[in-house]
Amino acid sequence: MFLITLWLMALVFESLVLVRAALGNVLKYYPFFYLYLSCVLFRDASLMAVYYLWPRLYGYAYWYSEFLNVALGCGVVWEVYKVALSRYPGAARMARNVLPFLFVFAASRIFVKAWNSPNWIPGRTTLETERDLRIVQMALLLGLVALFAYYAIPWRRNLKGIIYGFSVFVATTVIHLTFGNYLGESFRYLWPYIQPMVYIVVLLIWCWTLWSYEAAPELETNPRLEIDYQSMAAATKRQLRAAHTFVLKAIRS
Amino acid sequence: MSAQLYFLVIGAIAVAVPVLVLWRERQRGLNENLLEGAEETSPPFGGDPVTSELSARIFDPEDSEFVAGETSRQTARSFRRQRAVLALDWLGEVRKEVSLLMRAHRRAARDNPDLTPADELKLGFEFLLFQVTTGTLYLVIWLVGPLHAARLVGYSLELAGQLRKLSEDILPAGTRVAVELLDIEPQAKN
Repeated sequence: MFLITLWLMALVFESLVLVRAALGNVLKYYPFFYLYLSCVLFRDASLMAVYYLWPRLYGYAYWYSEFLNVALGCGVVWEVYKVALSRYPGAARMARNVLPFLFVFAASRIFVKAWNSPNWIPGRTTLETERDLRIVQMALLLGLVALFAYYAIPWRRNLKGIIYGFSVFVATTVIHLTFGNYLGESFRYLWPYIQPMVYIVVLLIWCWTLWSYEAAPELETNPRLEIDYQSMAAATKRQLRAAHTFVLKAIRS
Repeated sequence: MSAQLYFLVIGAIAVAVPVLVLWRERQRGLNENLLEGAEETSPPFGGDPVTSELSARIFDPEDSEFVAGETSRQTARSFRRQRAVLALDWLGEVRKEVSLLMRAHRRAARDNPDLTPADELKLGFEFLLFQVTTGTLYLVIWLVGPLHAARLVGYSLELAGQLRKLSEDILPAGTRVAVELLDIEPQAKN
């Protein structure tokens, strides 16, 4: 009964986020995220029907739709990159160079498994395959967040909500799929309650942060922008080395 | 018991993440304020002889030897303790200046379409190296005091210099390791 209540609550909150987005005209700013959420809503509602009407088909329906969700989740990560870095060409260039490397690094595990597996699904089980794909998502998200932190990219409330919510969701899924088999019965008993509760928290974060559209703040004029990048990097490097030498010289004197 | 542990861990994470995020946002705000002032003046690393002389004085054993010779053991110990605090403050200041310098660079680089990822990575690596070196120094000063730390640094640099010389003798010219930071001559004492 409690689980059904959580399921229904999730449907209500997902609808609320979408309705607010439609009313507040936010849909056009984050189309991939809302497409993802619409699919999740449609999937949750359909799965509920399948669960009661054709329980034997539930497993198939769940896993096939789950993979569609994972693919759309990658679209959300791409959208975060696109929106957050649209006004920062330098940081965007860095991301375009670093993220493919991270993707290859994180996805290499899947490719290696696929190469060695006789089945078309690389993992031994669907759980394992989903976990591997979620790890790729998590690596990309972490890479992006690290890049935002490094370049001090300001996050708007909407974007902050999408990133926090999606990160919490992906992290809990990875924890579930990774530790589920190792932590024993009590974990397996508790997790079906914990994960939907965390998901409700995620939806509440989205409701709160995506209630209305927040326009990007005015860009500050940066006096160093006019300077050629190479000379700027060379100057920073020179000063960094001077600082290093200064410290060692002072101590060694 | 294990179920309670799961809840405890989940609770701890749920509390820690928002706290960390809030702390980081606050730090960012403070740093932005500091940065506004710092961008106008460039750090005086090595350029200002007065600063260099004062910095070197912190690690100079001369004062300590004088105090040890003229006063009681307790006063000498107190003096060494004060010098350690001063040295840690000085190092902390230098680290802060460099962090602000890097922050100003990153803020300018993020807007620059001509950014070269390879150069950015190299710069990031140099900054990391600086942080690791000064972090280690901080720990050494905190553990053994500035005078012993100075001696230790002296030995390390000497050893590294000898290794470099050895590598120059053994390896062909094209594969020699360039260690620019080791090209430091000890300053003449006042």
